[in-house]
Amino acid sequence: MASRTPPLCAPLLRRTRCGGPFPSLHYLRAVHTSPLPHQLQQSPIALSSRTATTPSPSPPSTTTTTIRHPHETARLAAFTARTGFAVSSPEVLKQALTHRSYGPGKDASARFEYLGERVLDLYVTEHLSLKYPDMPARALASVVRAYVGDNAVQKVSVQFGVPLVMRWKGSHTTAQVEGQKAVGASVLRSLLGALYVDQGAAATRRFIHAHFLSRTIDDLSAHLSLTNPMPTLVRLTQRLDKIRPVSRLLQETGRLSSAPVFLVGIYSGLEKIGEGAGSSKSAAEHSAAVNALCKYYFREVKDFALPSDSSI
Amino acid sequence: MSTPRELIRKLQNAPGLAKRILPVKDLTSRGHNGAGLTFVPHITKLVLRYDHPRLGAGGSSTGMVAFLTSQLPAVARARPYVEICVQPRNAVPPHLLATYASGKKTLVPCAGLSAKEVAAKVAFLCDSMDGEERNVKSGRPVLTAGHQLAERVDPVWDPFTAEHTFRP
Repeated sequence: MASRTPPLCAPLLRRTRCGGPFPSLHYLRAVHTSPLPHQLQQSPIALSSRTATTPSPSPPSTTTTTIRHPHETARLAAFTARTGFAVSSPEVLKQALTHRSYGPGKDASARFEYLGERVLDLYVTEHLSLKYPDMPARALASVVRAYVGDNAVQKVSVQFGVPLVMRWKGSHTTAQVEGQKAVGASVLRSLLGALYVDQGAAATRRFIHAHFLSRTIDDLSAHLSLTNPMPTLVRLTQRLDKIRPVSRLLQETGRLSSAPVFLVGIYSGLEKIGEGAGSSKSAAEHSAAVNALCKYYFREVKDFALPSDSSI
Repeated sequence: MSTPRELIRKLQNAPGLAKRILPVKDLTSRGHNGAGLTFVPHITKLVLRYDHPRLGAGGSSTGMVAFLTSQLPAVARARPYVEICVQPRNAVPPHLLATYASGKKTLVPCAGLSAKEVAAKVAFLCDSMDGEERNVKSGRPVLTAGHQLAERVDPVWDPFTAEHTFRP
């Protein structure tokens, strides 16, 4: 909307100072005298253009980050309340939200970003490796990537509304700039790093558990490389000193029809370790071997103590 | 000789080839906002625009102005996660503009509404995902998977549930 001179009107609203009782609410600067009708045509309210329009992008500032107007206070306070990301001062928050593409000399957030990436990786890996103690290393790496990789961090940053709050090269123009989501992910990592430095390990771990480890994986078996499940299963049973697995046809229907169903169970001795269905006997056996491997590798432990408990 | 994995990757990335190969599966984790005891509201900013009532103009903003003076501080206190911005706009009917985390902006006109109605609209926008009203025609908030196929009078045949399907 184009900025128009607001009407002279009866005193309506008190001005709030930065950091007042409602930091996320900011009013326009109001007139403190009630005007007469003939004064409506005159324009003397000296309001800054910033307050009448949507906040204009601030020019790249130097290393000092002092908050200048209530729009910013409100935005940061709302962000803090929305995400639960509480740091000791708004300056730290603003520094963390400034991407290195915003202007020259923005090193602090790049360091926070590196630290945040490592911290996130640590706490998520620690949690998942104890939750799935039998998972092979490559599958674990893939699962951890599903939680802390670029896609996941981008999605969490969009959920927090980070792209609307961050300062990056796209803040200097209102036009669409490429790479907003990737920059949002970088800024979220930098926020985690700033939280770690400012608030400590306990607060950061709680934050990560709340927002990253609450996510779920649809299909864990997709993280397992299962090109030849039957030989893999045989080798696994050998390693565990179990009886060599044998597959048995449990049930079948429609063998000569266009949609047959075979149900195959894989037995290690008398114990059924896996079961699978398919439209052919070999497909069903494949499915049963996959099922047996998944049951073993993705065994979940519910309650466990984290190694980082002692250092928090 | 390429391994099968390399061959599939080459076929997927080959230019000009009809893409009948399935794309790589997206293995990213899925978020469930609110399921893990932490909920992140979707709304980020709410702008309230009005034209103050005076002689000859602004009559449709009376309800909005009453809301701003009486109820807005309480709303701001109760909803600290929304950035609330109040802006007078000369010769423009009053409205609400909500910005959501996805970047979507929703404009809700408030001309001629009472303070209570404006409060209801504000509450709806703050609690909503994108400010759109959705009418769930079936009357059930959650639709079960496969409801269209499984609950038909004559359901689609599948070999796994063929024996359990009642056929009179």
